[in-house]
Amino acid sequence: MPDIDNQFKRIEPPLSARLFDSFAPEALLLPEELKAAKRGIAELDRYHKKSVANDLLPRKTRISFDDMSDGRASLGGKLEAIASVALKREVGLEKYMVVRVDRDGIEATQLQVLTFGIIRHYAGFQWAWQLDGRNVRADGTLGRTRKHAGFREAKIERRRLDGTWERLLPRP
Amino acid sequence: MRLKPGELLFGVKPEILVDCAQQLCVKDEFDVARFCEAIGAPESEARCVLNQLIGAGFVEDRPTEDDPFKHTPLFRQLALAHISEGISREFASMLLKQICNKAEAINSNPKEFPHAVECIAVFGSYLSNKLVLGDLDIGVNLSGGRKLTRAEISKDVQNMMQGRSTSEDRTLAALRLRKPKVISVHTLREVLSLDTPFRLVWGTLPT
Repeated sequence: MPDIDNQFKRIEPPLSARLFDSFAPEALLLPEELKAAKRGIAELDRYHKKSVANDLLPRKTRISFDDMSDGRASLGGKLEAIASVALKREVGLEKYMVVRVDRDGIEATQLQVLTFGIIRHYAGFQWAWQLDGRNVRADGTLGRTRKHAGFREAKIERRRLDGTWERLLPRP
Repeated sequence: MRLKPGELLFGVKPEILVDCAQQLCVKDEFDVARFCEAIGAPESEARCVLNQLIGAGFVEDRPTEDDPFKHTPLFRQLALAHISEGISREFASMLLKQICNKAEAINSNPKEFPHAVECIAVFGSYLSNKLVLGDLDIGVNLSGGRKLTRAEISKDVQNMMQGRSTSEDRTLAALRLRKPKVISVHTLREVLSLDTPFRLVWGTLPT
């Protein structure tokens, strides 16, 4: 009698053989970080709504652009702190690293990471990591153009100082 | 300074180290965070390279932890370093002959090259006893030639404003013989300002 249950069981390839690794923030963050990030993202959502409402107000009663930006920067800073600690701990991804983010169906992006963030995934209900930084030119030198990459599932490699690339995997 | 491609310097790929030096040489001072950003590595890895650079005299050690680091002339040389296997002296001599021939060709074709070549001087590692040179450095002085038309002058100005090459740049580029990695063309004024020894190989020095 064939074992039907086992026959259709999905066989997971070993982590090193997978093309794209899962870096879901919800899975990598610790419970207290998750709670703080949830609060931060909710605050950012409220900020966006407030920002849109502010733009619709008459000019004289509108909150100045600088005051609104300050609020956003402080919210972004909280999320950045959470993201940088979590990515360093779980993936080994640190500030100033030169990385290559290869996502399914999207052109691979090379950038030097200068800031981290947690954003809503395009689906809305999921989160993704956001890396902001500057571009890496074709000859490998660091450029000045701003570059960013958001990812949840990706193949991430970092450039070592000897010029070789090392794949970064989520710690088991 | 010449670095061999693929040969690590302080454990760093030469292209990465030269790029780092070029970014940091924009200002006289830098701190650890700026060094990490320029080299493209976190502090844990960049610190080790920085200490080696201090040990080798590329960077001045700071008196206290709060003071910034300062780079030395050696570090500025690193920023201008060529990454190549180098060229043999025989090949450099052959190139020099070709450059002299090209100068004659330029002067005999004023329609294409309105600026005439007055003299060519060689300097740098060619004047040393080294068998393998980093590159061939030449200093060129352009003078005389035919008078530019009004249209040519306005086109040159337009090209200069848009960051494109002017007729003078095209003459210098022709002397480079389409070998930008091997031949470095400078103006004679630059060579004189460097106060470095040079040897006249073609034409006469301007009075």
